Amino acid sequence: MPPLLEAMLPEVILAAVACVLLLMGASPRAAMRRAVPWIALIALAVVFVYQLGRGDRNDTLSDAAGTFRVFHLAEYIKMLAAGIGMLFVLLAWPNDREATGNPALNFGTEAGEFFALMLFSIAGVFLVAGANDIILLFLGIELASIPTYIMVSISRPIPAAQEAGVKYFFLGSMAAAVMLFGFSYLYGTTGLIQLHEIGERFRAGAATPLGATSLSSWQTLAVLMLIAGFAFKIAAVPLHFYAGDVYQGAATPVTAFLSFVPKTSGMIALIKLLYVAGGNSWAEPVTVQKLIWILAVLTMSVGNTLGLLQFNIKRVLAYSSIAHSGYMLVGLAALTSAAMPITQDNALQGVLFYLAAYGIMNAGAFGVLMLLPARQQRSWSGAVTPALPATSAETFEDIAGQGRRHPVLGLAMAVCCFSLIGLPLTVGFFGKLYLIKPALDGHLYGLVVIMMINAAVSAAYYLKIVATMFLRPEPEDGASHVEPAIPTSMPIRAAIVLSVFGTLLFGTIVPATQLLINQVTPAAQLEAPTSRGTPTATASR
Amino acid sequence: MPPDMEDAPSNWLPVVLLIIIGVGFVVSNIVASLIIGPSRTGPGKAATYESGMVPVGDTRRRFNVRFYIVAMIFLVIDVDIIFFYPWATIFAPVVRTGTPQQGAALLISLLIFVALLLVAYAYAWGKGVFRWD
Repeated sequence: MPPLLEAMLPEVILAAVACVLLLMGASPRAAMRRAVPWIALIALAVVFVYQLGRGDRNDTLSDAAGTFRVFHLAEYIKMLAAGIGMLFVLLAWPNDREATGNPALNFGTEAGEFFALMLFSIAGVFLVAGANDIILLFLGIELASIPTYIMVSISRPIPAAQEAGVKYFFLGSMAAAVMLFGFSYLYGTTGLIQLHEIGERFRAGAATPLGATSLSSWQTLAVLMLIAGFAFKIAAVPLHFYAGDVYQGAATPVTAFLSFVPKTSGMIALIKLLYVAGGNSWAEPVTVQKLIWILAVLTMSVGNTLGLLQFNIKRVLAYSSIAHSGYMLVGLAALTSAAMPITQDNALQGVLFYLAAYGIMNAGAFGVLMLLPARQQRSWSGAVTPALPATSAETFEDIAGQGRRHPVLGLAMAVCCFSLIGLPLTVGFFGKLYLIKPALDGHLYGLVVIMMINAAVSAAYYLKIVATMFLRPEPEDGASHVEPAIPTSMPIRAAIVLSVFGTLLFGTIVPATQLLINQVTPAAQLEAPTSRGTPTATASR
Repeated sequence: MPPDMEDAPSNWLPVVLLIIIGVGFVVSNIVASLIIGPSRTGPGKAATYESGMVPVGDTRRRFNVRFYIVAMIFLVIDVDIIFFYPWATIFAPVVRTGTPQQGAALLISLLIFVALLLVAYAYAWGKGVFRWD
């Protein structure tokens, strides 16, 4: 197999399957369209198993030009994105409208496009993970983002979804422009496009061989603009404004997808950028360290505070997603501030573990929302509006009392919410633990205190969801007596079961957690150890 | 010299000159025609210039959306051509001097590229872009 093909085989598989799905979606035969989600699921499963099998490889996959550099980090991210991607395919499984009573799950004649775009977006994350080239990195981020703009727009036949799609598109384009501007300065000040070469150039300019790099003001500007662009993708404050509207406007499975896939691409790109800015290490200039610290504090605090104020559960989960980005930024702050290599490795492992934990526990929460029907609403003015067409549960009124009516779903939601808070016996607890420990080792005590306060604040709105489901009486308004039947969608149930099972398994069974950590541990290496710190090392193949 | 200082300002002098000449050409032409041109007005002068024809209406009228879709399909073909050209300049010397494997690899990579664009074309066809009724 040619090295280039070997380095990008998972991306090629997903993109090729996505092309086939596009053509199948355009087919007039309904049987073809029904096969679409199956094929998407199988493609992701194949990639997942392929990546699992590559876990113990120790060489860098690289093509002749050095555009790709696939090492443990990239392998892990590909495995993670494919695995969580399967959950999203299950969540988005199109169903017969009449059978589910929940038209939000039905993508009709656009099923082909929808799943093709999903695969394209995941392939974009793969590209970001493997890229060693600023052009490919940008293309990967955009490949992960552009399909999501369309997915938001086509997900529901209501104006809110169109508005969300347009809003997301324009703001996303602006972020891409800022990012591209940053990349152009990075190229303009170094004349290089390969990430590790730029890192070596920065390292050569450092005062001491292992000390912090000293970037010129243009280079600092480039790094700042790139951080701004990536911060948009991970919805970090102050670039979070789109999150609430977009997450609310999109159909629930798309919201779940948005909260993981573009976020992962942004987070990995940010990690790669920090590695480059530190001169192929984590010895960042003080400006960048401080910036990450401030971003982390702002993102956690604003996300959680605004989460408290929301009436729509999808908005709550949107702000929770912002807050979780903030927690991951704590890991990055520890990564850039810590002096000891072992602490840095721990910090990066913490971030990567948290990505996995967040992906697992978040999918379940959205899945439960999808299985609960929307009720008619009493608006602020007192007028009763019927439930929107094509809507699953969205507001606190929708889920009030549903936990007693459907105890299993209620318990699933409770497990996911407890995990999102970070209570023990869930994977979220270990996620927070592995973020806090390196932050303490890196002497970021203030940041840890702020993170603990934020976790406590977030408990308020997560527990409000659980309490509403179990304790609040069902609304007494007229039509709610005719309770819509609960959808019997097996794929969505499978996704919830997998998500809850994963949350509990990785949270309670220590060997299972260890298994996940064993996957994460090597992933903290961006490059093969032989080439680490030696400026002359080039592509190994 | 630090790496980011390699681009001395003098290297960019031709670009600056080009910008100055470009802007200067436009400004000098407008100013010259204002000064030496005759100024006559009338309904014929104020009318929209439409390739010598008498204008039939306002520009800001609605077009059928299918024109835009056809324009997008045109992009598929257009992108094809843009990439064919640099490819052709590489392909000919490789065929003349390189190994058959190199030539085959180039040809296959182009065929993959064309196949990808054909997917876009077939998709548009399947979605009924060419149905004009």
